[in-house]
Amino acid sequence: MDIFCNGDRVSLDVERLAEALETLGFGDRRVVVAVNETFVAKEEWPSFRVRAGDRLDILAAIEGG
Amino acid sequence: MSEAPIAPTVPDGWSLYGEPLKSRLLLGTARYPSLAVMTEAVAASGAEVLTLGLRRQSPEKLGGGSVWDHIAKLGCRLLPNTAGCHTAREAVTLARMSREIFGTSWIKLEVTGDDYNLQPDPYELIEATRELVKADFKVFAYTTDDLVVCTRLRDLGCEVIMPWGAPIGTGKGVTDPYALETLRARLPDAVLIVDAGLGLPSHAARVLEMGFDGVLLNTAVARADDPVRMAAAFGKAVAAGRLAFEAGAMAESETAQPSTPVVGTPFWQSESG
Repeated sequence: MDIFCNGDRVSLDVERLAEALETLGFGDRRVVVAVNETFVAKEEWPSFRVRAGDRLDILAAIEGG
Repeated sequence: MSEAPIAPTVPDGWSLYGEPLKSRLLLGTARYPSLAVMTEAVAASGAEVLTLGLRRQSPEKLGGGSVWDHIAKLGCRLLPNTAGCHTAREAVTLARMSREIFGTSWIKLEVTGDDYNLQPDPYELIEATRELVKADFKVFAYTTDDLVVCTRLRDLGCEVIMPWGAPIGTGKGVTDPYALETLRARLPDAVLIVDAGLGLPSHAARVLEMGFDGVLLNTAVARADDPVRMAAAFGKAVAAGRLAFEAGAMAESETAQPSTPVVGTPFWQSESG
């Protein structure tokens, strides 16, 4: 199925958010995630179901003012 | 001869949401020439609170030590921001994400209403503050200097209100001192930190002299020719401004008043001889 990862369309064969993050290369990275602009806590990643067309925002810390 | 007392050089401490602090300067971590310069500047400033943000990043860019790892080593309290958000919903979502990754309920709430001068949107800001206070966040609200907006923020339980001095990154200093003076006078018990628009240490000293509780800045230090020396200058200016406020300024006079006593002025002669 196709989803959007940080604005880019990607094709994934996964069911859960944790699998999606692993497949996308974020498995061991310190990131936080929102799906369709709603925060998804890390503890929910293994059970959170990803659906076609979902928009994932995967964010990490940066410098800021 | 008795020794003169040592003059106080560091004003008393203060606190933000119950966290005791010494420095009244809060510093941003962006736009420095390098992480090494940023690290030196933070140390030179004496700042104990640093702002940072969240952005989309590729997994490749996250390998081998993140910016956050570097900032965390500085041992300062973190104040994540919601920069770039344009709606209350976006800001609340980003705040929740920040709380998880940074492990703090402190949030510098920014909701932009105009992209030209990065002016905060008061309506979305108030809505986001309402949601975040309910969710037990400690909100640091970045706002314009509008008295009514600041009053609403206070009434919602926002304990730290951060009016701008001028638009972000302009370095203009306080463009409307009357508005800030009014805020200070009308909200005497609120913690008010001037955030954004300051360019010189004298700007910072001025707002502390006016009775503001602190300043938050970034570009004025990061874009100076020598950020480390400028950070030190801001640290001293903030401390000086606070010390002056605590000392209490003299009353202004419209006419000159001689400093030296006039009694016994030499060369003066009575007209009568």
